[in-house]
Amino acid sequence: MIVKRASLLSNEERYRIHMASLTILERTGIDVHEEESVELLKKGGAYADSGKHIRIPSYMVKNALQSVPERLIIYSRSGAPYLFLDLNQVYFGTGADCPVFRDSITKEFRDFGIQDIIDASIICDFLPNIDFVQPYGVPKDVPTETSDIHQFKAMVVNTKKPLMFVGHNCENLKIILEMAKLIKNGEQELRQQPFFVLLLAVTSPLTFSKNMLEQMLTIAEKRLPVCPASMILSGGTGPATIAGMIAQGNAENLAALVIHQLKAPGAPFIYGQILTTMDMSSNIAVYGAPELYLTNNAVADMANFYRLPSFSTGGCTDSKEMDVQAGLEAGLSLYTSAIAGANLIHDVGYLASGRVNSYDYLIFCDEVIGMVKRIIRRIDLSDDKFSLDLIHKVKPGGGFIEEEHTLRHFREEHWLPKISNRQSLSQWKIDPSPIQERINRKIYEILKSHQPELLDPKVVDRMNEIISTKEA
Amino acid sequence: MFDLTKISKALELMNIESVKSLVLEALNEGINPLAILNEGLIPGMDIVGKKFKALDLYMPEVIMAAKAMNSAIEILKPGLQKDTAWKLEKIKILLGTVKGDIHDIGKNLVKVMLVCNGYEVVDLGVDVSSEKFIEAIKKEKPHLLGMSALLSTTAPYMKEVIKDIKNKGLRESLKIIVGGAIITEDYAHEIEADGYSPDAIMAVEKVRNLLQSD
Repeated sequence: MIVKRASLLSNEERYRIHMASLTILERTGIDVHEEESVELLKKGGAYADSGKHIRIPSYMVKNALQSVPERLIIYSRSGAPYLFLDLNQVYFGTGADCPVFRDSITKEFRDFGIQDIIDASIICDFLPNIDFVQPYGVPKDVPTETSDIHQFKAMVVNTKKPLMFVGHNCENLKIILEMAKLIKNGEQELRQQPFFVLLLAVTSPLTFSKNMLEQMLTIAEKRLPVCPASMILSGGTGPATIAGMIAQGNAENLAALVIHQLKAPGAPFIYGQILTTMDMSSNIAVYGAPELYLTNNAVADMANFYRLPSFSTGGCTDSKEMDVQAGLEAGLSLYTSAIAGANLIHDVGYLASGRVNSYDYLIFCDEVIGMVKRIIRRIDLSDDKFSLDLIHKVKPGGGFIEEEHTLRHFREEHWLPKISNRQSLSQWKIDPSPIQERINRKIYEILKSHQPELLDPKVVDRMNEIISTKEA
Repeated sequence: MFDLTKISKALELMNIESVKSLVLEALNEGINPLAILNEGLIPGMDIVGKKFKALDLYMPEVIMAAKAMNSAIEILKPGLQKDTAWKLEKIKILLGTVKGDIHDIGKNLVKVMLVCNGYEVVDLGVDVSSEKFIEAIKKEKPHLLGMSALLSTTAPYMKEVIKDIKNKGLRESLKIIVGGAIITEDYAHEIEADGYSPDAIMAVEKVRNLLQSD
């Protein structure tokens, strides 16, 4: 959905951040825990102080920014262009790999099973405002070593929407890519119609693990989209000053970009970081911090500055259940991230700072996104929308309800809630219908009746074979 | 008579220099070191603890107060050692993030809290194998081992480490505490650790309790 972005940072402020990051890269450097990456950097002109400690001069960053593509299209599983990652397009997706599932009806906390990943994919496939899908949680009823492969299969079978995921390691990533090739007709088609984004974790401050780099180099070589996203906790893994955290996060992202483009110039790269505070009492990573809402905007502004596709965060809460706090944080985070305008807004539906996923909050957030989209769609002020002839026709003291104009326009101009309660007070007294119940009913209905587009059963069988071979 | 509440106040205000000079002043006036500790320092730390629980003070401030407390205890040590009621053996704690995992912010926070509470900490870093843990236990002879893991794929390794420690006959010689975003109280119980802490500040309490139970 196209949004008229609200910039937080002036052009000069973006430039100053860029300069600060270049200083970090050239003066402080990064630890690179993987040989090929170190070699690429050295050959490209970086300063290697010791085995893994590398400092990057600014011309290497400039080169990387020149070769990286400004814009990406992510496709649906069936090859339809789905996400246009360019200026001012926003899309929303879930968060990945929660350790705990909360049943919306029984309120029980429990482990995830693979069936939950399947159910979540079906629900995401249904929800109109969820555009990309991550594995809802870590399934405990499949082998730990291959749970990411099981997750990928569960998602790809049960939704046609684009996926995002985190792989355990390079070996598993290669297996997932094998499966992806089956779904497309081979590597060429997969490259031209990528239907997923690989999300990788950076270790802040300023450290790239062997695992992360191996995966990044692998995916770069295949020319498939990757998003090496730092998550920095201000006062913990980054400075307590927000500006410092932004400069550090930007530096980490640029360093990843440099290595990525040295490996495969022109390969697709998505820019983004999660920059939030560490709670100074409980030490958690805060998902409902107003600072996060600000940095989402800074990150989107920097992506615009560099002309890169972008990634940010929204629809998440530190509350452990769908309550008032969760409502507040959904509203604020989804609105601010939407007008900040990063392309891929992830973690929609996350409870308990990313430790719990529960379908009720996801469905609630889907509703909030609908409302947010209405706001960012703004007001249609084309001439005919003033409806001057109609106003004249209805005359002072008249009414509009029976007009054909009303019938023709109300669905387009008014946002129609599916969950929010708009009953009159007297109706409500007769039938209170609490929001939790309405949402729970919806979960039940979706799982009962939504039928995602089927995948060729031969492809599914082949994927099962690949998994069995790996686990043998 | 020296007013020991001045020391508690200075500690509450996290003023290291002030605490140190007041402690020295009290010693010079002939006040018993144990009294300085029990009536000057400990009440101050108690109030810091209460304020932390009430969200009036936060971790960076608690760290500052603990550092002040610790430097005061260093000054009092020679005097306290004469008093046999005070046990001053330096407690040694071994910390590490398990093999396959390079996340260490949690572990580092625990280290900071333990060090400024007067414990000696040997930090093995990240990606620590069972062999490395055991080698360090044999060499350092710690009172307590703390293990950290963030990922669902690395947490199971803790179980292995504890098993290996048992097999090497070292389990009885130390307490084991575990933590990390993915770790739960139940999991700690399952892998037969002695304790679990959800955050660095509670870790200090847990460590204190575990080691007192001897």
